[in-house]
Amino acid sequence: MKKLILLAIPAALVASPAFAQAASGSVGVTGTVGGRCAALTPITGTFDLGELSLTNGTIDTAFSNHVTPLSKSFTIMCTSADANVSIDATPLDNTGDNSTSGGYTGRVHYTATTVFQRVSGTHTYIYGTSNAGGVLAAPLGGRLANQPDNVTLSVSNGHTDNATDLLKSGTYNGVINITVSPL
Amino acid sequence: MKRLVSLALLAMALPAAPALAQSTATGNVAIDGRVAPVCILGDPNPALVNLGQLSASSGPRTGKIATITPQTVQLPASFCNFAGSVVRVTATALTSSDTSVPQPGFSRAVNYTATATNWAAGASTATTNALRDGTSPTASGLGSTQPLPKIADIALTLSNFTAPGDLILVAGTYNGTVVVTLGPAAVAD
Amino acid sequence: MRMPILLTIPAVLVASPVLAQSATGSVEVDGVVAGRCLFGLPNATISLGEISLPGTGRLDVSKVNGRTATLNAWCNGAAATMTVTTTQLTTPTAAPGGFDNRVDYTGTASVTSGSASDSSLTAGAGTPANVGRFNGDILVTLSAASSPTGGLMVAGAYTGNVLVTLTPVN
Repeated sequence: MKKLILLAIPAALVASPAFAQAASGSVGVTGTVGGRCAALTPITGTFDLGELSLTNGTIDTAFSNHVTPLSKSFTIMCTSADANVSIDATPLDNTGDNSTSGGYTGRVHYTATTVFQRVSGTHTYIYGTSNAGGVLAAPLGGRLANQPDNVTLSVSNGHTDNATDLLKSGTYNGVINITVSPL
Repeated sequence: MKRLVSLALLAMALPAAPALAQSTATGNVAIDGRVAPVCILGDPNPALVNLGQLSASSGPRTGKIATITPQTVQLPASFCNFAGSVVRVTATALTSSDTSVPQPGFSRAVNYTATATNWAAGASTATTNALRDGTSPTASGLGSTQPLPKIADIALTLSNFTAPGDLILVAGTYNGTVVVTLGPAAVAD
Repeated sequence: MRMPILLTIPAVLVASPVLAQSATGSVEVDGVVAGRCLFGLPNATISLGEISLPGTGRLDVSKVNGRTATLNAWCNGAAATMTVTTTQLTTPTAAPGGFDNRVDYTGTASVTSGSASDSSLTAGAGTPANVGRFNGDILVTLSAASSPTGGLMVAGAYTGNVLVTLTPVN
């Protein structure tokens, strides 16, 4: 949303009659545009991956039973020349028991891939829940492109800590957090 | 003022994830065994039939075959565990331990009838028909077929003791045997 | 006459809601694993051979008792149950007096987390056992063999089976 700054300077100088010398001055005009980022489409929603296991009970690495698409796009606007992006994601954890033992696991890892369209080309952030510690934060290295769906988030590469572990039955939940801040 | 394109995510009609039915899973251990067809004859009781004195010792029939009471041997708890069994009786005439050819008017053989009962509906019978010199001493007979598995006490009765031509019996110890066979009816005679 | 000098500089900021400086949000990731059981090895056979005693023709229980077979399966739910249904050994030929054509016995299925059993003397399945989440061998053992009258065993081929059923419960 644009902000309009109106600067109206009616300056009425009334000349004094019959004086030969005029009085004059100047007024400088300045304004600022603060750097800010906004999600023009909300960064929200759900990846519904459906049934996570193969017939043999192990993880379906391709998430082939996904109910919703494996990719979502957002439109983010930043007015600054660069932006800082921070991403973190939690693994899909079984709501009853997310532990791993005895050939079973209640935790499914995945990779969250976020692609930003910059004016100067794409910039990709890859966050794997199995080998990450904390938040992935790094600048875009350029101005975010001013176009719809300039940010695409996708999930892929389902895997478990031990490849042969069977998945415990139940519901699994995880979350991907994205923050884009002006630089 | 720029136009903002609001992004409507397409609701793609993906085929529903296969609803993995909470069905039961079954595994099966098949078990097989067998019982071989078998017949067992009870041990004969008595195992040896002693007829005692075979010839009359006085009176008009002195020296000739006496009247000998029929003798019965039990083969207790004999059984066949299959359908279609039969009892075969093979009797061998009693003959004297004196093996020389008997003089005219004398016999060294005693014939008799051996009958096995209490197995199938029809008894198994064999009547020996030895000549006075003891040749052709053996006779054999089959009873009817027992259609079901059976366990029973088979009774073997020895009777009808005669001498060929009712001749005078030579002296000696006379011996004969009866073989009882219990087996499948398909066995050839 | 002096005129007042008006210098008004109204700086009007459009009354739009104050936006956060950052764009932030969270996307959920959800999935489900249905409760399931699956046999990796669903069939086995126990061949007992000759089951009557050579001298007496009666049932030799030592040919049955203690015999085992191994199946292999998994269940991914904590409330999974296992039941056994044991069917007697029989041969088609009828058994006259003094004979038997049937062998009853108990089949027991064991995993590390529990075991279930059933006797062929009782119709239907045995009591379910809660085996929960497991992945491995199921040992099936035969025991308590008997014949109805202790009589002579009718000759022939005898067949029966032990069925192991796994039920997933979410």
